[in-house]
Amino acid sequence: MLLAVENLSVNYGAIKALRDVSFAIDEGEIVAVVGHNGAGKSTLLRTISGLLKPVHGAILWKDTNIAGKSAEQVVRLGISQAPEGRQIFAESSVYENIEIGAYVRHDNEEIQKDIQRYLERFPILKERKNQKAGLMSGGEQQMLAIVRALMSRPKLLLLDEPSLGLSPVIIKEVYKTISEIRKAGTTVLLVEQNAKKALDVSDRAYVLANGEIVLSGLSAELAQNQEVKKAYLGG
Amino acid sequence: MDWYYFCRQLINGLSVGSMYAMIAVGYSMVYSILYLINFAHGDLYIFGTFLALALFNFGLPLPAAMILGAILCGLIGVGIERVVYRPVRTANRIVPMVGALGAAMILRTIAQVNWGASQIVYPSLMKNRVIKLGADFQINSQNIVILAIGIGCVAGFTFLINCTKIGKATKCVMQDTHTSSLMGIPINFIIPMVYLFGGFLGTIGGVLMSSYYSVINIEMGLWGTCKAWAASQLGGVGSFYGAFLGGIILGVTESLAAAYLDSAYKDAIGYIIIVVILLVKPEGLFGKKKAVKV
Repeated sequence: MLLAVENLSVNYGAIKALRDVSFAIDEGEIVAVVGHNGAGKSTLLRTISGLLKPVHGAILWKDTNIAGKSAEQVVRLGISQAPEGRQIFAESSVYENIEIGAYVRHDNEEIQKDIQRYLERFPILKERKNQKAGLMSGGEQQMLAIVRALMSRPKLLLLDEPSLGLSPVIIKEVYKTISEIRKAGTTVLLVEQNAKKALDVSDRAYVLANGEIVLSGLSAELAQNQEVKKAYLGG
Repeated sequence: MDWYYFCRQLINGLSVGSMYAMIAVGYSMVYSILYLINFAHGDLYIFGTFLALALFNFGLPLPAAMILGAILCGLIGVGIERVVYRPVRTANRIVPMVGALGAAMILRTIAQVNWGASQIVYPSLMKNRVIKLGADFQINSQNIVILAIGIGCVAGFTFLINCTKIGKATKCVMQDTHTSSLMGIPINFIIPMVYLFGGFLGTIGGVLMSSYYSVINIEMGLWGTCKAWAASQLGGVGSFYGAFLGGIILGVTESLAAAYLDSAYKDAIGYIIIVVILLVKPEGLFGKKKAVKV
């Protein structure tokens, strides 16, 4: 197992945001966690990333418990996140945003190569590399947020609602990119309200409701599950 | 219109403005990271200015005393951040604000016990020379030096923030601390650095100011706070260059108002201009409008 979460509970003030959540990801997988707004999806990713501290439970990264480590330490271990709502540095240029993603790395030549490679892959970022990132459209910002997260060369990429607020055409583009990322060797943990898209792209999935995992299985099977269809796929 | 007179007043205003600016920068940067009005900043920089005076009386030349005092003051700022602000960083903004007032009171009391509450004559940083540029056009070398130090600070800051890794990281922390830590940026190193920088520049500004007016008084902390806060509001809170330009504009306006109206109107005119600008452009001249998710 690359990452195994065991009996994880997290409180958000007085609210129990996650209760005894357990799941695991193998190397090379795309795993999705789907659920409605407020189910605890972002809390889950924020806890794995070290922005929130769990009340109890373990987060095993290659068999070592990393629960309670700071966000700075977690990135250095090889877990990187593109957060909900993209959170690009709006006042910095597109190029600076990409560059800062490699903050934990010191191999400057390789960093430059990676930047060039991503700029070639995403011509829109190349075209706008000297513009303020906040001036780009939502879809462009999402691509930038993903590229920025990839710049640390993570083994595991956490994606929080990459389709949020984007048009169907752009969502398709984003999801194509997610498949490419896996092909290039990065494991992906994806959190989505857009269950249809998430189940399409992922190998396995978990359904999170009110802070608990209520269903799990192969994504293709979950997509056929009557309950899932009714609750998350619009009948 | 007497152009020589105007130019003299303009240079005077520019140099006073760059002193305001150096004090304002500390406010503005701390605010943009933590949304905290750091009330302790005024008492901190005047404390540093007193420290520089103490070091001077100890036998150091004033420029060296200024730099050493600025470093010490920066370190005190780091200490205040660690002890007073960091434990309540995620609390309601009222909490660190009260903490800031407490820290200000402590600094002020220590300064008062050590150096007294009355005005003290401050040594001048350099001998003022009158530079003659024509029959009736002359400028003071002091103004030029102050202005040069101000420009030097901007240039130094621009280099640091755009060309060094730690500077680029600071730029990100100023925009969003959570996302910065997701990038692996050590925010608990960067934030104290901002306090160090703010305290350092503030003390440089304070020493220049005190030696320019030849006086220091514990009340100048509060006075400087008002000027600096006004300057950073004017330029747009959260923007380094905004704070700097805000300080310059305030200084120039005050000097010209004093020269052409009456020196008694000096302070009032500065604030009137600020009110007018903020009515027209509430985010300040160079401020950024932030989209906040609610």
